[in-house]
Amino acid sequence: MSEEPVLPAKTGIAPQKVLGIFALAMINVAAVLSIRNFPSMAEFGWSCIGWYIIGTILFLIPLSLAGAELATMLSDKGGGVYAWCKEAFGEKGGFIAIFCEWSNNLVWFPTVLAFIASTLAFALSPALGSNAIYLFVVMMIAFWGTTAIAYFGENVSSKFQNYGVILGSIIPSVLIIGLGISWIVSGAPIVLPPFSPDQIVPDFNLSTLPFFATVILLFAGMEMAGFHALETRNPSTDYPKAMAISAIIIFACTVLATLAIAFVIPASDLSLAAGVMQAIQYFFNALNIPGAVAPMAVLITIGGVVSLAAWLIGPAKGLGVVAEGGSLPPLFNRTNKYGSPVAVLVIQALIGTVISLLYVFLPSVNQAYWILSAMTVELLCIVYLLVFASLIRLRYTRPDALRPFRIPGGIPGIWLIGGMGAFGVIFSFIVGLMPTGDFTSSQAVSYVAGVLFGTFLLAVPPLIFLKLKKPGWVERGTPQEESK
Amino acid sequence: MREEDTSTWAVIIILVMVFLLPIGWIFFAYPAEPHYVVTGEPVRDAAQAAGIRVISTSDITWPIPGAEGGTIYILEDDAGNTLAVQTQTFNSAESRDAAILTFSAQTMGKGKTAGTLVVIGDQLIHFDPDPGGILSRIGAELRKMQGVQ
Repeated sequence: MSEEPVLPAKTGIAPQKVLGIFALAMINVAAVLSIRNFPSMAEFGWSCIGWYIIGTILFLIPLSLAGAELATMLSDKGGGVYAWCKEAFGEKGGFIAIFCEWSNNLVWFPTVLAFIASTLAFALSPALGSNAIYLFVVMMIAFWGTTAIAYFGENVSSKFQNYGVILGSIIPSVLIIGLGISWIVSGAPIVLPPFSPDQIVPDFNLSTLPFFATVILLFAGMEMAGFHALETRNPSTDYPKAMAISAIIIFACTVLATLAIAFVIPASDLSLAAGVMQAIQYFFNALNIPGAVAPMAVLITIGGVVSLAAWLIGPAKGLGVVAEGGSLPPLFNRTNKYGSPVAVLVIQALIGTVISLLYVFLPSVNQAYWILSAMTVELLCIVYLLVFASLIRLRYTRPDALRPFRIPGGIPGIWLIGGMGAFGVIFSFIVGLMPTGDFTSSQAVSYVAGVLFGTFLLAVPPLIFLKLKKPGWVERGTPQEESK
Repeated sequence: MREEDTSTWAVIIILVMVFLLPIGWIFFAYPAEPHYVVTGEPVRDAAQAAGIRVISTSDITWPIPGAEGGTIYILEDDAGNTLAVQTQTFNSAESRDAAILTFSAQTMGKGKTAGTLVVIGDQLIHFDPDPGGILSRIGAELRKMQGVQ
């Protein structure tokens, strides 16, 4: 796990080559693996396996392979999805991709921050969970604390993520899996009906379509390691291995831990409305270890913070690369001596703080939260559609480019993988617009219009910024000049 | 002010506006449900209006602050699809809103929550993931009850 820099920065802004296979894999695991998903999926019983397989085939595998090919092909370029999409579709395509990745984060941050605060409250005193001041203070400590870690550069943030993801995501998952196994071995009754292959097939109908989009994007974040290309020691060999390791860890932990919960807790008792920790509490009570609930809450809180860190740092680095290229005003192009895009991080933290304020202190509007979640989904779909389209397009526009990792099968292979991924995200985008069944007809129209309008507003700024772009933004904004 | 400075400010203003506009609009367009005492059983009434049977009920109190108890309804349609629906009464608007916030934070990945929450007065009504389409039949009935004191 020790990842010492092999090329220390000389200018204060040169990227440090500190990341190896393990660190890269842990960045992806931190972004994707979440205990939050397990109880929700456990409600589906055996069919959760089918749902996970759909998500794996239509998203996890295509995105992992696409990320491996694009990251190794463009390993000398920073910016992750920005570099990949820019190579295929020019500055506009790259800028829109990275801006959608960044802007969906800003809408999503309050959600994960509220999760962190409410989970920690469970460890401290559950009554704190209804105290808006407590929630906001903890949310801000987590948000600005993570921003501060990002400030100190790749070396510090990668160590934080390495240890954090083991502590907050992998250990809790393995613990749940181990306890599930001990439940079976002890001869305790499994609440699921006896297994038969037909039970893993999910129900497909109009009512489950919105859930389809959710399942596809369960594995969103597999591109996150790509933002750290310039800090990777041997990108051409390390990326594919890191992608494979992280995909296996994520899939194994997710499926097995979900089944462990489904074995122990009857679906009718999962009480998802009261939160994930209540399901975890039920799980430990059933296993006669109620004392493990509070420590587990602390671990899951850490997992939430690490997930936040992965999403907070990666896209900010990508937007920092856009600023370095002169597509944003020089104000955005401030890189500190640790190589962190400090201006983007601060602007991101300020906007996130304001949105969190609204989120916590405005009277809770259930439908508003639902719409914000829908906008997050739609923006993510735009990002991934551009990534899969870039994967395919670059095979035509740059067929001879060196690809240390190449998706096998030639042009048919790339269409198969890119096509599956694109199909998954296009389908998710469309069904992501569907309101839940409790909307009246007029509300449904307003909902769809609102989601599309919000998504448009959060996706279109790059086109305006490129219109406003001045030659001086490049000259004044280069990192070299900033360091003088 | 130089032209480049003007452009810089324009970018900053646009950046702020694109986040505050949609989010502000959403909160304006979907006002909070007032907190008032709900009489009767909205879920049972809505189910009956939609031709859905209530096949069993049991009491439940969510282990969260301000929750005062409620009912688990198991609903069944003519096709044999079942759906678990939980209601919970809250003693204040603050505790109810905190519960909504907690629920909304339980998204799956970066997506949506697994179930659906409907707010009527002092009650939260939670629908489990609904493969049978029962929610779409009674949800609209429940929406009509919102704000009816």
